[in-house]
Amino acid sequence: MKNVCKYFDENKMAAYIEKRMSPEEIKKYEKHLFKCNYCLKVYFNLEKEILKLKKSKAQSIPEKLLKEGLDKLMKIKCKKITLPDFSKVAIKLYKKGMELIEVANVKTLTPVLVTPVRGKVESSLLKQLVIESDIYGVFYKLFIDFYAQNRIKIRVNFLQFGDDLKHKTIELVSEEGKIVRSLTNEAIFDDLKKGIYKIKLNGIVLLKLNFI
Amino acid sequence: MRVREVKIKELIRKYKATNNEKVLVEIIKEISDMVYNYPRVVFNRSKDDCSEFYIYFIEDVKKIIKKYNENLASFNTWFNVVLKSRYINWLNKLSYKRKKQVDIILWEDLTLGTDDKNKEEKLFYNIYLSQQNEKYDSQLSKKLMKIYNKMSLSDIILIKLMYYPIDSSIIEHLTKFLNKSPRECYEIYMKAYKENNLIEKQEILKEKIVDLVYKISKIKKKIKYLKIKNMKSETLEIDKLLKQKERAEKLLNETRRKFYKNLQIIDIKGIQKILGLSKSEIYERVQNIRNFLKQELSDFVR
Repeated sequence: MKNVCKYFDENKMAAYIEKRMSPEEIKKYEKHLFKCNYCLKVYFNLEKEILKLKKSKAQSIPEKLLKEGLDKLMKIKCKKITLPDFSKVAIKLYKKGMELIEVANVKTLTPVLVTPVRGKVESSLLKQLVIESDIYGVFYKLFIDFYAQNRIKIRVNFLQFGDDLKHKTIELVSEEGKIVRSLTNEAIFDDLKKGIYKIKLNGIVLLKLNFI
Repeated sequence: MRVREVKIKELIRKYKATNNEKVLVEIIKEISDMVYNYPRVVFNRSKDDCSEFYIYFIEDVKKIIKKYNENLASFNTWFNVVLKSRYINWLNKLSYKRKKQVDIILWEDLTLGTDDKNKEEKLFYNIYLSQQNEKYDSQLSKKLMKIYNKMSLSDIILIKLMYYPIDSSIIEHLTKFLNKSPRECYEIYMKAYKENNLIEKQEILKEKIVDLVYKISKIKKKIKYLKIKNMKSETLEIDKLLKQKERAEKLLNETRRKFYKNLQIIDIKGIQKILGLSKSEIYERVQNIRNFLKQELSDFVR
């Protein structure tokens, strides 16, 4: 049995249950419903389950679990924050431990490069960080984690550029003046320098991206 | 247990328009009890499972909430559909590895002939498994296709009704056999279906089997380690572990027996209604099919 169905639509199934479809729509929907194992599995016994749930009494969710859920959601939010669409070559960076960063093309979601980062990010201060790539990365995930551990606000300045497009450099500057270097390319820089970007978590500014 | 329809709709409208985090938190608070209780109320799951499901659900809540279209259905109906599909996905995702393992364990039951009781049930269950997963045992699958070709449609329906969870093939067979629409066949099936969450109970039993198998193998390893150490002080510890192992094995056998005993999904009365046969006719037919399958699958079953 297939694990999911690409035609599965919660709204349509709910409309079907509530009989809010025209006879033609019902006919079309049923043609799929009774031939698709996944949709049938969801629909199977559903009407009775709805009644059962309606009649039952809820136990309150434990406060701790509710908080854990909200915390997790906020963390995911950080991970999913996307800076403005820099260019057609959008990249994601994932932190792997503190030493390995995976660079992936957001459009295809396929890793295009796995790059070891020279120099560890120590817990007390930021050390030099060089990414061997001609593709820029989004660093906020790394530094949000860093912030969470050390409560350091980090300002990221993009300052220096070399001549070779493949080796443009970015300076990442923490508020304490520590400099971290990485590489980018000009096209991306042009997009970035249009503004200052902030990454927020629970309303607190974790990371300011100040593109000069 | 219901979510307050008017309030939640208002919150969703607000959230869709503003993307405000505070509104999202309010939505989550509003739906949390329902999400948390869902596996327990509908599928008799434990509180631990409820917590695990809740966290799984909440990860995607933002995306889920945005999908709701209030012009098509009420929130509560829509949300029930969402919960069910997410619950199925959660089971598939989290227990994929476990399920595969338990399938192997149950397959071994059959091929190794560890327990002669419920042998036919084991056979039917493994036939079902082989159909669900082509990679599981392609040889058996191929053979089954040939066997099915030799069986009458009503016999195939009979076996599927008795032992297999619902799938589209049952509806398809019933449509042909009863000459009725798929919707009518589904309703006929539903009327006959046992209303005691049997499938879910079976899933829980399967998980229990895996846990016990793990537990036993862990104890065995521990005993082996202590025996290698070969110290007098360890003898008491080994005795204790052997007793634990014995208890776990006893429980494992009981659980396995329970699992096979409850394999029948639709009771005889239900099948009688669907196939229009008498009780004795059904028993006779089942016995004939069993003999036929045993004969055909003699290479596979000891």
